Amino acid sequence: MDMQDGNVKMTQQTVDRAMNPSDAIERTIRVQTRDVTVHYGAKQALHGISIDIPERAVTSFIGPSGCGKSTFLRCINRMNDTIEGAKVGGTIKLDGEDIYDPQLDVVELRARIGMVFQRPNPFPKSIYDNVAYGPRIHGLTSSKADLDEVVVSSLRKAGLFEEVKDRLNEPGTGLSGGQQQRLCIARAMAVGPEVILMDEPCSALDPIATAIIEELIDELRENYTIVIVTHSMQQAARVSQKTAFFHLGNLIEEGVTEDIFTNPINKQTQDYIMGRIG
Amino acid sequence: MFGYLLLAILAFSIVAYFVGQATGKKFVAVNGAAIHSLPMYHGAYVAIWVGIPALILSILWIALQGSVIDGLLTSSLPSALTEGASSAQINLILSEIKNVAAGREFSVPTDEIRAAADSYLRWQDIARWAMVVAAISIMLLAMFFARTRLAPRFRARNGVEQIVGWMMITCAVIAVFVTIGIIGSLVFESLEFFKMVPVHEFLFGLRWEPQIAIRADQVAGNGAFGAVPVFLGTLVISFIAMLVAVPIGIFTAIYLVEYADDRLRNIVKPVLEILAGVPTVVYGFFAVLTVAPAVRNAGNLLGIATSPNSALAAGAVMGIMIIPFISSLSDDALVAVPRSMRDGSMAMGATRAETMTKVLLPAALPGIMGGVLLALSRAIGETMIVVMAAGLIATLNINPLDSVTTVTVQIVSLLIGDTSFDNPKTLAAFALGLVLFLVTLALNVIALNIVRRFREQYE
Repeated sequence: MDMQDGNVKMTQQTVDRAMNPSDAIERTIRVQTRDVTVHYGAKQALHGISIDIPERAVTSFIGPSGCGKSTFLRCINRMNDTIEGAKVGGTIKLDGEDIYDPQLDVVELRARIGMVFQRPNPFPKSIYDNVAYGPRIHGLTSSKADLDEVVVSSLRKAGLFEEVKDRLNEPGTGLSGGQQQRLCIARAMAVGPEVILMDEPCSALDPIATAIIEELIDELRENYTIVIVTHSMQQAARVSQKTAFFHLGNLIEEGVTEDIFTNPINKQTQDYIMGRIG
Repeated sequence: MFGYLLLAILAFSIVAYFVGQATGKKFVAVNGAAIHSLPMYHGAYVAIWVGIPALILSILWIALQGSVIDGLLTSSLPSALTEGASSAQINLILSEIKNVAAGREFSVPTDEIRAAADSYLRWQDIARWAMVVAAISIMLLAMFFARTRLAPRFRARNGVEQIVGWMMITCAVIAVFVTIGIIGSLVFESLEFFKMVPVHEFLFGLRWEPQIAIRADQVAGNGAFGAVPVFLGTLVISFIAMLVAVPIGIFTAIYLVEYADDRLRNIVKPVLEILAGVPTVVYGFFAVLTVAPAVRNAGNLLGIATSPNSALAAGAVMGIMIIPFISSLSDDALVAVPRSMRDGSMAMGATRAETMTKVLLPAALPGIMGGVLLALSRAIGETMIVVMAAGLIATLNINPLDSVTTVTVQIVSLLIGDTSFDNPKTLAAFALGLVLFLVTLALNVIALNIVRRFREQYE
């Protein structure tokens, strides 16, 4: 019961903040989750997460390791389906449509919600084939020229085209870590998703590559709804407009990024931001 | 006698261990933590010094004793017997002496032989006792020597570790030398064969009729040693085996890795391992008594002429035998593809099948290829199934319903019955064996290279 009250209060807060005229995130809600729980076997990993993810903005999930932020991210494109023993409860809606509806085709869903992983994971194929992978399996293009077009524009959007235009047929695994990660972003964008989920996309990269990816995320915000899980509070502060703080499988606090970092309401959030937990 | 000596060496070593350990414990009691090695290392140090030299001495003794006594015997024989005799004749005399000494008299021996047999027995006795005395004295000396070296700061541990290292090197070298020996014996006998039959005739000849006369009074063919039909038969049977094993093995692996739940996987994997553990002779029964008649009946029903020992039956059963090779190596290769590849593909909205065919299989292909090549070399060298289920007559045909023979079957049939090592019939077996060895060696090297390169990619 307490939990429930907490959630109600939290939602109230968000509404209060959203009412604030100076708020930068008064936008349409793209993804809406209510009381999402995840069990791995007997262990409960998430305890009733309710959050709204606004359109054309970057929402970041922060929190100490093992707090459930990645687990929650993987609920949004149903990647938890591939983990044996994982059970998801509650509702997650994309544009008002329940994504756990048995009628819904998970293949279509994942084409609408792209994902970028912690470690760059290009396939052991050429750069071209990596980007063309999605359009090919979904049959998005009808001719070679169309496909070329999609590959080039995706690479452009990921800011990689100029660096690789002369070696599209070389293996994607031969690129540097930062380039690989941008290749993975290009690969995700090639199927034309509306939402892009990023699971600590910079944790395996050096500071320069990280800066390039952060810049890219900022550009992509114009056209995509982005959710990013990050370990780095600075990164969350730099790239996101909305921030949610997770701890031990609970959503502790969420709100406009600036407010969370300058004026956190919850004691635990304060402690985390001051570096006392995690 | 040698057995007792080995027991004695063992007993002495154990005693030596406890002597050394007791000394070590005394050091601990007196010097405390300042000693260099633990008491057990002191014990092991003394035990090694006692055991190893004595063991080496007695093995060398046994190895050399025979030829030394033979030499003594030959020189002690009256010159009338040895004068002008070839070494083969002397060997005959020596073995007669030994037979007499052992009480196996085939004819009444001459007095010289009887006298020689007596001295042979006497010398053997002396040699035996001398060996025991030598071994025991070397053990006592070694125990004394090693014991005097022990001291609180003595580096017994380093000494023991060094000797253990040498022992391991010896073991590794033994395996290598045995391999070299096997190759050597194949090569030398094959060279003998190629003196009688030209290499090009063997490698490119189209007729294989090796059953020639060994003795003058035998009725047999004139002989032809063209190995092409034999290798063709091996090729046909191996091809059928791969046709059965590759798809079944790879699909099994795909199913187990990607589709089966843990419960089913835990049942199927051990069952496959049982399949790998069935003795090949049992597969042979299965081929002869079950599969071959079934193939024949099926052929008769369809009105196709089918041989009772068709290549199809032998090949199919061989294929079943090598399924576990392919499935377990493919399984390993697929599991070794990082989870991030699978996730990457699934997150793009690919189905499981698309993920498998477009990402996992290409990534695992080198490992799978390695498994297939290893299985192929196993199929080519497989003997028991084909000896039981394939034919004996070498014919140039690739009809799977007909009877074919294989290299391994021919080697077995050439070495059964009368053999004589100055005759191409027997020596041909070694030439076949050499070629077979080279082929499977090449396949193994290629396969292991592919597998290794693949492993490096994801580490």
